[in-house]
Amino acid sequence: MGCKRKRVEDVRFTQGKGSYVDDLKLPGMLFGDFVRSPTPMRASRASTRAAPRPCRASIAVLTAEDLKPLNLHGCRRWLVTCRWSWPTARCSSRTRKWPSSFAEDRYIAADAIRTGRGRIRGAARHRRSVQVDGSRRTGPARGHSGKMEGAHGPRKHHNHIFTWEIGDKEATDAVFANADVTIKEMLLSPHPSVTAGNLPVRGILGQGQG
Amino acid sequence: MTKSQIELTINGKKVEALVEPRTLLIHFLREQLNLTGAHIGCDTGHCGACTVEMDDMSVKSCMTFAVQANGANITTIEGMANPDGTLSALQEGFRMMHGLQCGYCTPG
Repeated sequence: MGCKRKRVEDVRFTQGKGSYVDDLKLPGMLFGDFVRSPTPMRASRASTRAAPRPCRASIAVLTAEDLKPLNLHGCRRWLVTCRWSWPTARCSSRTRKWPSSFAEDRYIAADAIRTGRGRIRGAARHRRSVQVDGSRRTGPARGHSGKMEGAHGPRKHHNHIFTWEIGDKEATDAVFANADVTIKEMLLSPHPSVTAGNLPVRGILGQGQG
Repeated sequence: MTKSQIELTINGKKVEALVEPRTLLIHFLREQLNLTGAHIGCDTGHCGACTVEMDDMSVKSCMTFAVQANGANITTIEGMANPDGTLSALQEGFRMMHGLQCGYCTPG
């Protein structure tokens, strides 16, 4: 009692040998990808110009309509870290079809999903399968697909992530300038228009919205 | 999609592989090489759970394409321990000072 105890499991954790759900690989496990609105806090109205169908090597393309028999179409969250919803007639008066796709390869799953107005990504044969309308929502939001009651609106202020807020900047800069050794972290951004935190489709790193 | 041939050194071992140009380094490490130490946390380069060393510089592997690492020397958490299998000073420091809880992001 009263002394520090070393955790046994930390030996594994500090060597990257912990086993998490993300590390599981099971036979037949698939990757899923989901259409999300490219514009936050806007009406997430999806329309299908043609019925979504599996494309190259994808296993299935599902819409909320397909999940109705399982009573899963209204699930707001299936994964804690992946915020998405299945807007349906129950959740949104506007949205009827909101596809997701599943494949053995994460990139193929992403191929099956296209978003954006007139800037649909990926294979030509699916260019017009899905369109997400980014028109601004008018009136109070209802259901699960948009702004909830009590939620904050679009951010009007800077998020201050990369700005100086606390302390004496000049004094700190002087310390770094006079230091014998400084360490910098290099962040590689493959494309200048890709903005962190605003990737419209989870799993795709490509042309930004810019 | 046309695949590209890459050659790189990962934790001291030469690796050659064919990857799609859009394949992210973290996906290449985790899914093709089964090096699951680095994790995908935020997918946006903020959290750092996917951080690896590339030519002695830390990079967020979720923001780096595998083809960008062609010819590079990569060190992941699996390659950080001492050759005799004991924890490195940094790893031992994390353990001594209780610098982790679930350990998901610690490898980054």
